[in-house]
Amino acid sequence: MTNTTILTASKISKSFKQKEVLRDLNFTLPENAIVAICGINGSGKSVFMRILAGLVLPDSGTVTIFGTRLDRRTEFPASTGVHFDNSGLLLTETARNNLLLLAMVSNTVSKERIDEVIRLVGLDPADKRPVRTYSTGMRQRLGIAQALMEDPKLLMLDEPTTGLDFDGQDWFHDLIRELQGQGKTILITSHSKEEIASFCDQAYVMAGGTLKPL
Amino acid sequence: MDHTIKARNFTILHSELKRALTSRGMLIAFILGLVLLGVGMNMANRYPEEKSFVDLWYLTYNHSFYFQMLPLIACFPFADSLASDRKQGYLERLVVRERYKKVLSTKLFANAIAGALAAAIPLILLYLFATLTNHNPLNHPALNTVDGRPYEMAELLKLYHTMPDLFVLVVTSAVFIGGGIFATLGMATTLLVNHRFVALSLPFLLASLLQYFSNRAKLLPWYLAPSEVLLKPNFSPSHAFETTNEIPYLVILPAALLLISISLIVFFGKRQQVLENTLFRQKKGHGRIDLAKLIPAQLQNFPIKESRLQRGSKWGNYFRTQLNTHIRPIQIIVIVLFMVVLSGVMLGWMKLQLPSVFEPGYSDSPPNTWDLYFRTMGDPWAMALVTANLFLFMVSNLQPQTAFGQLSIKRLGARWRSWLAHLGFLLLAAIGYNLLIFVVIHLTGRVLGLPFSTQWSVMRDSFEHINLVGFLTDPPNHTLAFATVFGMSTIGFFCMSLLVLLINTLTQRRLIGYFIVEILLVSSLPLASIFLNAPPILQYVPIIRNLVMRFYPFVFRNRDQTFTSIYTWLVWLAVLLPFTWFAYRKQDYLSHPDSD
Repeated sequence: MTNTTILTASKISKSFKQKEVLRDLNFTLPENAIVAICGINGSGKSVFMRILAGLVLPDSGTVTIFGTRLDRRTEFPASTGVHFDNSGLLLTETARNNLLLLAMVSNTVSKERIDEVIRLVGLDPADKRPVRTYSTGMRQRLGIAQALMEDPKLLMLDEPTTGLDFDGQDWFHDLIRELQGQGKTILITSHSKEEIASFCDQAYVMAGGTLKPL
Repeated sequence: MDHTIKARNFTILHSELKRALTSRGMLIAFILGLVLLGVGMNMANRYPEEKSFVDLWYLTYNHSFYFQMLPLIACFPFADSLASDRKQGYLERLVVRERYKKVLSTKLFANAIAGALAAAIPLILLYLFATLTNHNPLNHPALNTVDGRPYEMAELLKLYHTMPDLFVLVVTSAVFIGGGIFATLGMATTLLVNHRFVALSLPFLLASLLQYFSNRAKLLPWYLAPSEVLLKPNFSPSHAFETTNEIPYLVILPAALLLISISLIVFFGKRQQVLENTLFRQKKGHGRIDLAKLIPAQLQNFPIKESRLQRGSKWGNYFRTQLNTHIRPIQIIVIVLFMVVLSGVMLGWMKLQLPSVFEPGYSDSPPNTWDLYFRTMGDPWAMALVTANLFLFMVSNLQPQTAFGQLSIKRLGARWRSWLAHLGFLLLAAIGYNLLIFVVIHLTGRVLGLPFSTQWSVMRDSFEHINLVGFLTDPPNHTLAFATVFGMSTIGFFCMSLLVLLINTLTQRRLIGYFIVEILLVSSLPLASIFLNAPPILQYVPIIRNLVMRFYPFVFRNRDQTFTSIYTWLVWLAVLLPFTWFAYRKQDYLSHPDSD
């Protein structure tokens, strides 16, 4: 972890209809850190992650990532891999085809890299089965693979260990540490305090629409 | 113990009835019914002032298109409740407190009552209004020759003249029963497809199809037309309910619809299926049957080209991924099959209406595949129920974005680029779809014995049978005729799909846009009649007016009127383009389940 801040969120507020989910929330993310956000279901963790990823627009407040403010000109942050609660994959396609389609859009990934990340998460790039036949854990792994595919500097992972068995969770923790060793910054959300205590540099709890240090 | 069970049964019946009768859908149905009757009364007021209360009542009912909208009115109050209760988990809470069979039967009963009352109450109010405000004597001679009274309806005609209150009771009872049956069908269909909009729209679409194929196309027996069962007079030259001996036939359609509903309940309404949300019953030793597994993998997706990696622009590649993920081989096969059947039906109808021109040697220029094309594309009911319907369904899954779509957009970098890609997709889809059906209709016609030809056939002399209008055939202009038909449908499909896109984006629900636009489209057929004497600008509001060249009551069209249809679509575009752009720019991409 360094002293350089790569992500700043200031005074973020977000409401859905009458329900206020986030209220004047402030947050900074140091470079090369593993930071976790925990909180009860419905506390707004995922919404906050989606705001950081540019997928949800805040009612007020600003997000700056790698020195660039997210606004109408830059809607989504550069060099950021995201993985949310669902794997975000096409169930009728193979694992490789899913990544191929996404790689076509990002336009920076080779087929060798696609095969490499699929192997990295413990899956087989030659597997011809559609993703619908995969277990929840396998889908989580594939979701993490798509987040890693473009070799981003920042990873945002929303409850990445949900559906992983004990071995899978150990594998994930090792992977995260390895990625940190490569200089990447990782922001995750989790329900498990033990998990957070075991490998995170910083942790926050989301409550009442704001973040507090754990 | 018995007292406890009785009390419990009363409680669930009371609770479901209260939910059904006080639902927001009941209010909507009620308002819709009154608005329709208001429109009908406006039309009825054009009849002679001497009309009696029963004339006013029946002419209003007859001119209000009440029978066409009845399935919607009946299904609005409660037919979608089984689907929404299943999705929200409320059904599970009910079945832990009460036997499943009791819960389901209570729900069906409450729904049938609510649907029947929603259908009948506006007519009862109309009766009260007519009797309180109209004191004219019965059977005034001035009304003897007007259209819209029950001339054909056997014994009912006697009732109309001698016991009008009983006549009103009989018709209202038919509507009451019809409402209950449509509502039951609506709820039962959600056992097959667990979606609330299926409950609202499927009975309506089925009734429209039956009305078309029975009353207009005459491919089904007359007694399968909902208008006959709902005792509305039939102005079409086809055979209709005329004699007392035919009364038993009127039971066939309600019985068939009830049988379908009961079959759906018996085969797909088992406790395990409903609570576990599986279509087929799970047997010991067998896994859950997955419908997707029934379709071969090759037909589920087009191949993805690896060669596109690290080539071209992001936008271009995104556009290609949209084609890859939203157009499936199986969809194209289904479209082709539907259009082959539709073309065959249209050709059969042409032969039925003008058999002489199909005789060998009748003319040097026999009917050709162009005639079949114009006939099929110009038929308003076929357009509303099949041709446009299939297209709207095909493109209805662009929005809201799936979880995969969200990941794609993040990589694309901007919401407006996704909007632009979707516009391009819809335009290309509209052109491609129209070209596909153009080819399918011509090939079907060829297989069924019509020749290919670049010349007009003998059908040019009876252009109304191929749904064309005079200025396109006299002087003959094949290219202009094709360009007009193709252009109207292409721009129309594009505009309607934009409306689907906008509704789906705003509501963040997948099928709602399709159902709303399809209902608007089908409703535009009677709406066109309502706007017959409206100012010209309103006459082009009904969608169908701008999709096909001719239909009742607009059977004539000149060049200027055709341009007005095109201008109307341009107005649609001028409204929809900024609205969709704005909706995309403001769109939040929230959590979405994985999808096919």
